[in-house]
Amino acid sequence: MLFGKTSFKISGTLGIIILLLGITIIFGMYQMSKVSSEIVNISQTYEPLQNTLGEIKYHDIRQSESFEKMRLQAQGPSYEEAKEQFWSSNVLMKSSIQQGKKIASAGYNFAPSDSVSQNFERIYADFEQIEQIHSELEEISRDVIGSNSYDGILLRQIAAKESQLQEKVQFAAEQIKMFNDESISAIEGYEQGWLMVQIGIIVVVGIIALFMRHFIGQINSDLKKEIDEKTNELKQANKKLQELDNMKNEFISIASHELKSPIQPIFGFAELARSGDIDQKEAWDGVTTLAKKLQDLANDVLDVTRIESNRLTLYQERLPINEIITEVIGIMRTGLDRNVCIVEELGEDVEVEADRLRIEQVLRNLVGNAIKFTESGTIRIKTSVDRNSESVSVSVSDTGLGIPEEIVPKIFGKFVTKGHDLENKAGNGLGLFLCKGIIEAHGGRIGAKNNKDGGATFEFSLPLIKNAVRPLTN
Amino acid sequence: MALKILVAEDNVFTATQYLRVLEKSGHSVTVTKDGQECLQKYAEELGKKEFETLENPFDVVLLDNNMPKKSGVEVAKEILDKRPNQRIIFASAYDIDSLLKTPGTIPDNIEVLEKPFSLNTMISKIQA
Repeated sequence: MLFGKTSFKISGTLGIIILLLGITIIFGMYQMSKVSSEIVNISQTYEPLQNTLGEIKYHDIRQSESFEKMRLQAQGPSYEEAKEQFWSSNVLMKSSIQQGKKIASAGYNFAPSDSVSQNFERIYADFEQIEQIHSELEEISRDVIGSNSYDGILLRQIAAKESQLQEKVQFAAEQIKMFNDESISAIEGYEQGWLMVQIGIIVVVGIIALFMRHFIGQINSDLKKEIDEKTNELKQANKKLQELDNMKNEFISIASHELKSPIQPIFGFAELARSGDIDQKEAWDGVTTLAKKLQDLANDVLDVTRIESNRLTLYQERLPINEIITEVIGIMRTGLDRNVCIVEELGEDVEVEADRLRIEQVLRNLVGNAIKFTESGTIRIKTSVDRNSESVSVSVSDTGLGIPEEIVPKIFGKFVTKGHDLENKAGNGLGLFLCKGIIEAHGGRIGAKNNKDGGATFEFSLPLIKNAVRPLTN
Repeated sequence: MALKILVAEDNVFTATQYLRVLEKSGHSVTVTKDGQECLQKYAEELGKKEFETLENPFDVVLLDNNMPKKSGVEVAKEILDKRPNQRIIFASAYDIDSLLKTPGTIPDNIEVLEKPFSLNTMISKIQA
């Protein structure tokens, strides 16, 4: 699942990078073709203007030449020829100027931008000025040719006009050339700008790719860490499961032994009673005791199931804790089969809200364990009230074998048995698990520890009922 | 023929019943409640017979397998180390099948009584 997500991220990122690069390349190609076609367009727009100016120059020179011829040959057929030439050049020149004005005005109308249309406007104005100067030149020339007197003042005027015209034409030609260059360099600038944008995009894509690489590396290392952690957790869980499985197997073998072991004596009692080797009462008592043992085991297993599924039902009532302890110990003392002394050191008598049978079960279990592991010695049952935590604690300590250290942390677990290798004390491994379940269901706590001077101490606490202390005056 | 029998059985009721029926049949019975005590008694009897090396201390040893302190298998092995021809009968309900199927765990010449058995069957087996 995690790997799937990562590969999706990686392929998505690669896809985005390739897409961006592709867009950049296609855009660049489009831009290049657009730029070159624009350069061609502009050259094509300005070229006819330059041509027209060339024609104007040519006709102007022809006209000046004709005029010069007329001035040098005052009469005769060549004079007439020169005159004809002069006027024909004049007409051609006018027409060329008109042509130029038309092209400029068309360029103005179809210009792609304001600056270009301004350029055409200026070119148009240049042509108008050329036309103006030319018509003035024409006027003076007409006067000179009409009067046929090529005197100094008018000739000088003509020469001045002529040079003015040439200057203007030259100026217009240079201006057009400049506009052309300007447009091309503007386009080139524009293209350069776009080139920068493209480089920018490529750099951004590169940065994104680098970032992604880092990011994906990060994800990978995170993943690796996560997988390691999960693997460890699984190992731990597996180890726990194995431990639990071992304990369960042990419990099953113990439980099956416990279940099977009364069968032989039950058959035995029946056989002996039938053959008259023992009396009926002894047989029935024996069978009853054995049945009771089986019942206890069945109850323990049922209680475990109840505790594990949180279905342990408590029938709580107000109980004087000291009285319960005294009763339970009284019964256990009578069945004592070894040199063990049970001492009660009961503190302030308080009441708890508890299930009598369950609390008795816990006390029987703890005191029973203490007796089981103490060949001879003393078992002390103490109670003390803690006002701060509003609870009463009950401790059972013995002078027996104590708990093996490795068992202490898990002593309240299920199926924990065989604390002692040497001392294979019978038990189904459920007693303390049930004690913990019962005490915790009452809202109390239970703990176990080894005594410094030998033996073990089990202690549990139960919450007090508010104002549970019996008034001393009563 | 009165036999000398050593019994190891942790269940008090079962042990009492063995004692009852075996003594009724005229045998001499020593009952122990765990594997360790059983070995102790066996060693004590063996010590008494130091000079009569050919005779085993008990005619029959009846062993439960699942007992405190030492299991029946362990007890049987230790006894057979000392007395390879000692007659031993296993009386157990506990894992007897797997014990028998695992080679090397118990010696071949050990007899087995699978629980639950009739006390009469046990007597016939012992007297056989």
